[in-house]
Amino acid sequence: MAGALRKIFATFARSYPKPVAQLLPRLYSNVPTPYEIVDAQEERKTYQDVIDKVNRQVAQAKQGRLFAVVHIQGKQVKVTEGDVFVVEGYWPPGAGDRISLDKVLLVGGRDFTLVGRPLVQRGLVQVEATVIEETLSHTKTHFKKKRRKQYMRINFMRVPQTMLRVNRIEIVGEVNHPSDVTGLETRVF
Amino acid sequence: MSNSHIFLKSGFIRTPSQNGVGRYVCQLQRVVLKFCKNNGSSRGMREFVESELINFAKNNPGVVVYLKPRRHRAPVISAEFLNGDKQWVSCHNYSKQDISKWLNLLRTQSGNTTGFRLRKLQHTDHPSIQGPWTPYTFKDPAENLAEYPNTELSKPKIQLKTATDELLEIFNSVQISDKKGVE
Amino acid sequence: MSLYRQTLALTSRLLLKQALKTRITGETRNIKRWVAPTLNELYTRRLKVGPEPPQPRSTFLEWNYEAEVFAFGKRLGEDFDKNILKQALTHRSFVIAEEEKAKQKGVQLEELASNRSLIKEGDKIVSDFLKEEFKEHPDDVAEALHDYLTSVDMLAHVASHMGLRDIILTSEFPVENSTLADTFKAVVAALKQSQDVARAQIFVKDFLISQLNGKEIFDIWNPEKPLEYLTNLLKQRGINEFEPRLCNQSAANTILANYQVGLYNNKKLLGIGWGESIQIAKETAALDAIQRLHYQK
Repeated sequence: MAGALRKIFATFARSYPKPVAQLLPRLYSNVPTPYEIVDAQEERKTYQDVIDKVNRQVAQAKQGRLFAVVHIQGKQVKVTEGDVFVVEGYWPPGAGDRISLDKVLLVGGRDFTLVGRPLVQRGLVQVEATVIEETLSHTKTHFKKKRRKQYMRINFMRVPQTMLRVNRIEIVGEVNHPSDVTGLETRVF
Repeated sequence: MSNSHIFLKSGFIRTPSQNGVGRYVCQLQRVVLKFCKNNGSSRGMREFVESELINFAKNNPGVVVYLKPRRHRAPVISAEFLNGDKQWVSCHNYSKQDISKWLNLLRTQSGNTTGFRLRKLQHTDHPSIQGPWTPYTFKDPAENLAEYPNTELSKPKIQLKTATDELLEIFNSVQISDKKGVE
Repeated sequence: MSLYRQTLALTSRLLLKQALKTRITGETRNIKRWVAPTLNELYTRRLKVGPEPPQPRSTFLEWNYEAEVFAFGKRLGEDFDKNILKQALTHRSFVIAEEEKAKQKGVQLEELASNRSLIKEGDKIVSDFLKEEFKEHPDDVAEALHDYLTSVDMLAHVASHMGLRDIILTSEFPVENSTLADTFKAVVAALKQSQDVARAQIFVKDFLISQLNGKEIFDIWNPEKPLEYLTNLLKQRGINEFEPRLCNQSAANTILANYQVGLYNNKKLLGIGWGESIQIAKETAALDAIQRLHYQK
């Protein structure tokens, strides 16, 4: 009897991991992710192929309309050419200024997406925008009250808002081919 | 709690005549500064006119500035925008700096935006570049040829084994191995 | 109307005078019982007359035409020759009205040049430049874009957002759209004469062509029968037939029915489209195919 019980447990332990491993992408569990051994050369060939395709498309100007996710004033915005978006809070650029948005987190076209880790390679993409309006938001009411404590405060505020028009999103560099010296793109000599 | 903002006029970002696509055009076309020459409430306005107005006009040649002294009336800035909007700012007892700030605000605005709540802080004419998702997007084309009712496709996608099934399986396997052991 | 307003002013003054007189002669009380009724009366009369008719901005006290014309050029970032710009803003109807006025007063009027020739010149500059810009589009699309941008409403919209509405010299009020459109053309010609054609073309590009921002080609140009149009287009490229195939469908026989149709030639996808019926889906697929063929997307 004891032998049979031990066998049951043994087979149970053996039979368990298989269906769980099958369901892994769909269910969360604490079973470690099964890893596979990757042939480095094979892998390199695959991604080089993809990168070449993207570069070719950009060189032939067949990528179509591009979109980008830019980081601005602590927030991320998805923009494409001709878009308008609002930056809230105090922000120095003035109306009429043309600025370049350098923190690009992601660029995408119809057939590809370049995801930055966290930013895409510096000097690869140019995103330009014009400040078209600086205004104040509607009056927001900030009202606080504590019951039975004779405490009541009311504040009114208008938040500065800056509107930006995105003029240009363009891939100017080559994917996966950073220049030897980086960090000088925005410097003026 | 005040909910007055709910009843405000609201809408989406408006940019008059695609400003900024070609070049930026200052949307303030003319401004009239109205003030009294001796009333105290106009003091800040008078100081502004004396010391800062020339610079403002020089820096913004595209804005026509008019001065309109009126006796015994409160100081006012009235602004006219290219889209036809008019805005009126009361400057009663404002200091020189206050007036400078308000005038600058009017200069950078594109219309009268007071009492207007923006519903979204973003506007795009191209919401999706890679195409929006549809139920057909990642569908297996082979499913087009399937005949219904189809037992295989009608099953749930994730079907866990029931406890009974598992026990039965274990029982069967133990039986087989026991038999083997016996042999 | 104005006569009525004058009489209103007169009567209200009389009314006030009378009220004041009674105050002086009547009992001396600190409560002025005449104020509210008088103001009420004035208010009701004001309502009866209705709102003031709009007046041209140039009739206001704070108006300086020279300053306005100077600011117009500076606002747009262009250097205009002052006299040419002024001529571009002067319409024939204004000149005629001025001459008429001078004749009645018996005064000699100095020569006023109207913008008639400038309008013609500007029209040609705009038209030529648009054709040049849309050269890469197929002929019918280019024509549709050209007509869309040079339509009276579009030109008037651009002109009024430049601040031309108030500074145009014309006898009509409010200014009509056709006049605004003509003035835009005249301003383009004035810029060409003040500087050069290249500058005028940049001006047109920045102010007129930018109006296409956010527009798709099919918002402006739509073939009436997309399938026929596509057949002809493919014939020109040596493809004689294509085959529509139903790629997906769902909710047939309901109001939310939808179909996805792809157009194929020799197992190659030409275009794909959706619709609530197969015919509509075919047509949208044809539109997609036309766009892909035209712009090699």
